[in-house]
Amino acid sequence: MSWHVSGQLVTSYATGELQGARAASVEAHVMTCAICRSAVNAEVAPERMHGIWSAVEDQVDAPRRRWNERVLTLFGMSESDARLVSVAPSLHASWLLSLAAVLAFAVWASNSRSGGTTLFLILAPIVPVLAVGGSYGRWIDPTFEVSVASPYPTMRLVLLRSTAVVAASGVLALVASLFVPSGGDVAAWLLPCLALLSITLVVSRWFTLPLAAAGVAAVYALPLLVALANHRDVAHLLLSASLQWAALVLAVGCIALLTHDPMLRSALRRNR
Amino acid sequence: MSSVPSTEPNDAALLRLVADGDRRALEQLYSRHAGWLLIRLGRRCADPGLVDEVVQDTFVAVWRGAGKYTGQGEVAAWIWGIGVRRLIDGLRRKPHADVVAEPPQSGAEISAEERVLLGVQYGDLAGALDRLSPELRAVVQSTVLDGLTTAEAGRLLGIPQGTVKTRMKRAREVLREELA
Repeated sequence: MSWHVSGQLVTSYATGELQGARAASVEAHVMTCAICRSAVNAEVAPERMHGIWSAVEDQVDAPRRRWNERVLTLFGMSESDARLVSVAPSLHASWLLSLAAVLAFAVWASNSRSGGTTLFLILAPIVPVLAVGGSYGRWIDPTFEVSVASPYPTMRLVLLRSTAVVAASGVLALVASLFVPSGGDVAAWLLPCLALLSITLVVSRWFTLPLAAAGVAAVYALPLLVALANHRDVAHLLLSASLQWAALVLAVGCIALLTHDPMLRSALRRNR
Repeated sequence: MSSVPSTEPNDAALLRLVADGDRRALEQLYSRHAGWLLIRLGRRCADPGLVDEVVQDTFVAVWRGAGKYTGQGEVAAWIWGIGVRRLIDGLRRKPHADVVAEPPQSGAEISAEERVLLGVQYGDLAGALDRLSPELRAVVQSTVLDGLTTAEAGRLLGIPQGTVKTRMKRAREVLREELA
């Protein structure tokens, strides 16, 4: 293209002085001519260009909300809490997938071997416990240093995250229960799970959360697994009414302890 | 296609890089296209704050939607299409922003263009357009040159769609008369 908009014409177009068919003709030409485009561009103040560009950069850089963050806000959590909770490692797809893998293994075992249901009953309640352990802690959470340094009650963060991960992993375990044969008995893991979770939170006052969770899970599951390997009647024990009662009493006791914790109470107050 | 300074990647290539997440390419597109877009939108909206916002939105949309460019037609025209529609959305949110009524020419939209050009084949087109009343010129401008539909033009100019059609018809009659 050999014709170009003259400098004077560009200026009067940019100031809005140029009207009518001549302005329209400049616009039509500018759409197809890079040289005249840059001539028009030169009429804009550099500060204005920079200002808008940095706003564009900000918007392009702003992290998109992750899927788990969006789910949490759907359940009514505020956006800032949702961001804090969603960075919990055990709410990441990789963690949830590995927990699902544990459950899938238990389901497979319960379908393929006699005594397999017992394995499911041992493993299912520790899945939410492990998820809680993976929700907050020095080595586990990449945002740990930040959260320690920020004026936000740790207990509240732990509770919010625990609730979220227990809900997520609990749903996984419940779904897995549907694939375990022998019907109603599979719900027998629910009370032990509640007891283990509340014990974990109590123990986490003295140990870090991952350590507390791992310890509680190990103390509960290892003896049972060893007994199962030695062909003891673990199923009978797990399904017995006395164990269910013991779990209920333990859970209620631990929750009572927790609610007398001043830190927890201040956390709950803030929650309201 | 346009004459892009040599050795520099052309706009379509830049847009492909943007689609792959290249921030430098977006910056380059911005420096090539934000200026004229600011001025051209500024001629249609008297609120510079809104124009800045629209240009910002436009380039964020370019970043996210670079893959939607089909490779046909000028990248500048594609960006203009995004920008002018964002401006219309912005005006709808801020209905009090003043619209600059503005002059016409020949260009893009199918039926409108044909309607004008069928009636106006010879003669002093530019002069005839300039002699149109500002209201009629604004309608010819937004449908024919800016490539808007009658509904979009109505929103841009703050008038009902039916009025856009009536004014378009009247503009065609005036032009035919003048150029007969």
